[in-house]
Amino acid sequence: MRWRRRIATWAPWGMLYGFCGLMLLFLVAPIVIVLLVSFADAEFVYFPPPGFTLRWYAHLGRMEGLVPSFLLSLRLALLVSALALLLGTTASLALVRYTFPGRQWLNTFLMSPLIFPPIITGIALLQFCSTLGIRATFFTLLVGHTLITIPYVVRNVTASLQGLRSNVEEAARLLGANPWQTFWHITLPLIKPGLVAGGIFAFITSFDNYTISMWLKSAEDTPLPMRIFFYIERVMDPSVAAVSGVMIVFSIVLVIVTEKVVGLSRAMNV
Amino acid sequence: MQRAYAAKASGASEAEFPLRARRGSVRWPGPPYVWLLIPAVLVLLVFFVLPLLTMIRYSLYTHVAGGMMQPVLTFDNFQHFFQQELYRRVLAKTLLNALITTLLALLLGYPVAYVIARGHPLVSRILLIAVISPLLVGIVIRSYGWLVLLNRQGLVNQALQALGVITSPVRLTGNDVGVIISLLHVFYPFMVLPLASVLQKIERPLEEAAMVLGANRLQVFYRVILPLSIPGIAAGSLVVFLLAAGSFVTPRLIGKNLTKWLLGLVEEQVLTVFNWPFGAAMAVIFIAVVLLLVAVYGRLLESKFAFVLKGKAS
Repeated sequence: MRWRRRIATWAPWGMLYGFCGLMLLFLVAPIVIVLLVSFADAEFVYFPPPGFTLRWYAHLGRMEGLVPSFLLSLRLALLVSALALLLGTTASLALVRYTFPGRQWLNTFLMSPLIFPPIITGIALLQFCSTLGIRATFFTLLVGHTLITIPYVVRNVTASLQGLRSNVEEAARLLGANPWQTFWHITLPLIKPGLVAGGIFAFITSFDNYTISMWLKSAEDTPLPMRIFFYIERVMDPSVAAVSGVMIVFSIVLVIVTEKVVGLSRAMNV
Repeated sequence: MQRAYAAKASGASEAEFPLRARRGSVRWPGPPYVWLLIPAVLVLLVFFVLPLLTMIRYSLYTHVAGGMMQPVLTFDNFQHFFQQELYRRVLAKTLLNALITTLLALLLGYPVAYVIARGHPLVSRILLIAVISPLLVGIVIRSYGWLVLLNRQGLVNQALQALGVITSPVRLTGNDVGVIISLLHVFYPFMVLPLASVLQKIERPLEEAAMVLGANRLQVFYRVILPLSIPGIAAGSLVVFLLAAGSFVTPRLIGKNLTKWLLGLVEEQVLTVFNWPFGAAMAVIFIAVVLLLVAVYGRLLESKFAFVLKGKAS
């Protein structure tokens, strides 16, 4: 009798866990396969590989335009996250710390770039720039990317600010700190998780972006996702997988950093 | 009038911060929130709202051969879109595929979200990392992973053949099946994360109460957990639908120009055909249709599930 009840309790969980195992496989499969293929000792991508080698990684430095694209994307993503943090945090402070007419509406407005598919935002920006005679440069890329990353910062920083009890700030003011000191020494350290999460989201969104860059990039500059896209369509050997492998390791490092600094579940608002 | 308004609003903020140390701080004219908001709002107005308005204006122009356009105001582009069967079909196909992706994500995401919210802490943590990890690996690379997995000699075809499900390799790239599979993978976290966060907030005593009152597990799920998780379902499915309908990279890479989704056609018009007015019109139609669907969906949810959504309004 007792074991029957036990089975009745655990059977649903067993089934659930089994299902989760399958989904886990589904989630990691494309990432694992890319890593495996990147070590394949073959001229074409197929599975299972006949042997393993590191030569595709050694080949990376010789891939046309790879390093400049990587540096461009890195520079762009860093600048974009800094800008988005600056614009997003100031706006979040206004939205959370003050009450004024139209606050809810402004919040929706600041989040609106998320609703539009980036490809459409990109086309609109392209047509806007061409009307004004603005040529595609690094600056246009910077503007386009900042635009779509502001919402991530606003979302994370407002969440952090709302969780912060303003009496801590009042205490600082009582003790004689001016508003700037209060912000720098009290508010800023307390909303750090939101800033880190927002900054990382902004960085990833920019670093990974294809659909905005596609319209706004100049002829000389090709951001990394566009470069990889180009390789995927034209290069048949596993060198593309090696490029991807490096990027995946890069992401894993980012996951670990996020986990260490703010905790993943907090960063994802779970 | 405007001034009086601002004074009132800043009065409210004074009340929140009773002690405003003016010493050492520069007094800027007007309430501080205006200065805090100006940079972000200005960037969005100039580089988001104005461009969208420009695009809407372009959609009313006509195209002249050679990539030029004529600034006349006409609805010809819109008429052309709905008259051509091809465009109507692609629009319907895009929306239908986005819907399929959303439903699959919901069905496959709910159990995982439940385990993240209620399962063993270690399992929950591993699952959370696994769910989030695709988000951090770029979309181009994830699509490449699926391209490798789904091609004729790929692991999926090999596995299906080994299991005896199919006798000869089936085509999984260059068609919508492959695109939906990879979109599901790409957007899965956007369904699971809101679901998990809502499920976590459902209080256990509620379930226990239902059990004590004689409900079995299935009944507890259908009568208590499922209705209470509707805000999560609503949020997750909305985001996944929007993202799937608006996707471009995955349909392009996995679909290999053999199956075009609507935004692929838009890109073609702008970049290859150089018919900017028609491309703009297609983009406008796409946004209008999607916004309309979202509005209808919101209304539907509100009328049917007002009792659970009420708390979420704030």
